[in-house]
Amino acid sequence: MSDSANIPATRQLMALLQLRWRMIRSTPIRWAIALLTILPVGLVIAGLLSMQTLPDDETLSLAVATPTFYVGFIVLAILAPLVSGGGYELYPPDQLVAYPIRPATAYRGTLVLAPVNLAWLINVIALFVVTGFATGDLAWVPTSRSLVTVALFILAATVVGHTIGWLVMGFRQSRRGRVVTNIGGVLALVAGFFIFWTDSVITLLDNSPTTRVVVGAYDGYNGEYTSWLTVVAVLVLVVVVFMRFGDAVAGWALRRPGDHADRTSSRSLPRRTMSRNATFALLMVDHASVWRSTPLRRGVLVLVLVPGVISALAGMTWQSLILVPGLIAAGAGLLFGINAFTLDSTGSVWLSTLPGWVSPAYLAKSLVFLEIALAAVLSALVGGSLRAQPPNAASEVMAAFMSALCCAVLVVALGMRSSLRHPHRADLKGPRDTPATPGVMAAQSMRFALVTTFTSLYFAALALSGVWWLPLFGALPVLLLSALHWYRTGLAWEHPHVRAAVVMTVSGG
Amino acid sequence: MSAVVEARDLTVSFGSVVAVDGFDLTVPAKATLALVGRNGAGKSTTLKVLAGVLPPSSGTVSIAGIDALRHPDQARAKVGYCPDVGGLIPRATPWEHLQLAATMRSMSSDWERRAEDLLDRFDLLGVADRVTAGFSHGMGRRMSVLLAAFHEPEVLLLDEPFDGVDPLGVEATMDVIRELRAMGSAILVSTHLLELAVEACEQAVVLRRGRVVAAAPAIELTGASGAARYRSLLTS
Repeated sequence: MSDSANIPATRQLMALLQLRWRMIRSTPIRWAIALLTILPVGLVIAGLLSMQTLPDDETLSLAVATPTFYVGFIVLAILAPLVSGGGYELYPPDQLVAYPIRPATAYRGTLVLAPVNLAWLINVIALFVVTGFATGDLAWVPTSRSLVTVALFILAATVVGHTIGWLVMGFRQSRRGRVVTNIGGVLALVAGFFIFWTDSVITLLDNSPTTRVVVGAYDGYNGEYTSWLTVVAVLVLVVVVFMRFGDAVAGWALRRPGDHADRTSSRSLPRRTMSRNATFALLMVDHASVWRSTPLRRGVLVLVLVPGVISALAGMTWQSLILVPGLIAAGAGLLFGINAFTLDSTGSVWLSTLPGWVSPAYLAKSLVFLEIALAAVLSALVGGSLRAQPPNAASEVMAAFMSALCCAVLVVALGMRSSLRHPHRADLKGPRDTPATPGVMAAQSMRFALVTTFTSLYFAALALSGVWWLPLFGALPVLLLSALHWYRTGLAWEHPHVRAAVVMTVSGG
Repeated sequence: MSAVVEARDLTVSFGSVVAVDGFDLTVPAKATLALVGRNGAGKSTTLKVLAGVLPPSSGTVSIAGIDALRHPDQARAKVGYCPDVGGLIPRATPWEHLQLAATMRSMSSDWERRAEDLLDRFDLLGVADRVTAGFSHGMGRRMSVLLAAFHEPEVLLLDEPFDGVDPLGVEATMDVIRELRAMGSAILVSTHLLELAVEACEQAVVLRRGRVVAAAPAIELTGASGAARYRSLLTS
């Protein structure tokens, strides 16, 4: 008999990664993924080289702000896995049920997939570039020492964040745990409000432990080895300790006899009147599919509430607010919109036998997707407007709202196309379930981010004109192109072979 | 008697794999036909094509005199289909499934009475307002059969309706088949459970590698000689 239960987690993880790689049948996609893997390194080098042209006074101001970037990364490293129940998974759990996969393997798999989160990746690139630049002129060995410190800090923050994510996920398997973590969440929110409202942010940042890490990076650059090695040793210790702790936490969380976040399946729900209109009836079912799914419900709440609160607290300029909707709309697209028909899951086969289903189904999925995208971008915008400095011109306000509208509509158009091109079977039941495979998630998040960032920058440029109606007219071509893209996807959906492929894939039939 | 289901030269290919290999199928009103055969024989694919889920690669399909490929919505209105796996929206309740079916099929206002009656007969009334994600496999099968029969279709397509279903559920399914047959529906049942196929259906078609290898009264597949004949049809 084989002793498969004793295979180390790292070996299991390598086997799972190799299988995932072999499952990518298309050579161009393999090349694209390989390119995407080395792209961040290229971006860091390009960023470091381009920043050498900045004047010296910029170096000083960046050096002062660097610990704040580190604090921001810690917040992100904790929030991202917290929202996704510990992080992204290499495979849905039901696909691995026949194999003796260790909890530590599952935990380390979520760590490996941290870069799938575009916000994480952008922040990582920014940390390398900012630190490398702020420490001094580019020099091969000294800069490398400072960047080693950054790499260890990123690793430590990511490991700590994921461990906290798994810990909270474990707690939330019981009713008491959910109450405790909910109270903890509310307290954290209140503390955040208090800190911003009492203008204690600067004081707190000055005392942040991340300052010590940044100083360690500088010491590494300057050849002050004792101080640098102390910081490096502490960071390595944090990584090792939390990695071991994370292995144990994952084991505890996965073994807990909880309700696996599927509490709605065991209680009766009140009956509601259903519209006699096919589209509205399907929309009602789609709403239920979103709100009764734990990961989707949590994702919607986070998307709608968190950016709004952060924008409100940040006290941004209207020029900056124009850029906010792009990032948030991209996040909304990744919730389920890149594989919208998976909302029906196994039910899609039955649905496709109902007369008059085809067009209303496409419309209903698009509407529920648009509602969420719009709610997220508008929440961020309205939140941001509460404490924003007065706009320089009415064109900035108009540009911000048009940017929000266009980014939401664009993401829906792109997401519906992706739903037809890359259907994927996903239950969206467990806390770490995602609507697509990690590769598709990463590729789509880059695509969304690219398109929406350019759109936001386009409106930022229009806002500079000072003419209030220019962003309004500027929105028309974007909206028309998006509508055309969406309409053409709808025509493709009408084709029986295309529809059958989607239905059979999302239903697992 | 006129054919309610009529498929001619039906072919379904998935790339180089031919799942259904150009066969003809005719099912008149009030007929009950069992589709039997090994895994991968083409039973489920055939039912999916008849239900309008999957378009055929070639051939024609007529449902109650309607060209199902040219007028798919009109054909779907005549068909009730229970798929072989799943078939239920995980986060919707049975009652919401029935509401949706009633809306999409423009059923008359007394649909609620029939829905309650069927839920009771399939022993699902107590869970009518719970999401189907929490259902056992057997409960899901019963619900799928119920949905297929809900609008009293002219063509009832049941794919593995007895799989994992308890005796009371099997009895309820048999009752529905008898009831719809009496009303004039054509019924096709795909199953691996030969005894239940024979109990449910008068005729049987044996499929092998996407082709019809035998068509006979279902009763001829019973007993020791019937079982031997069936076995030889599957392997020869």
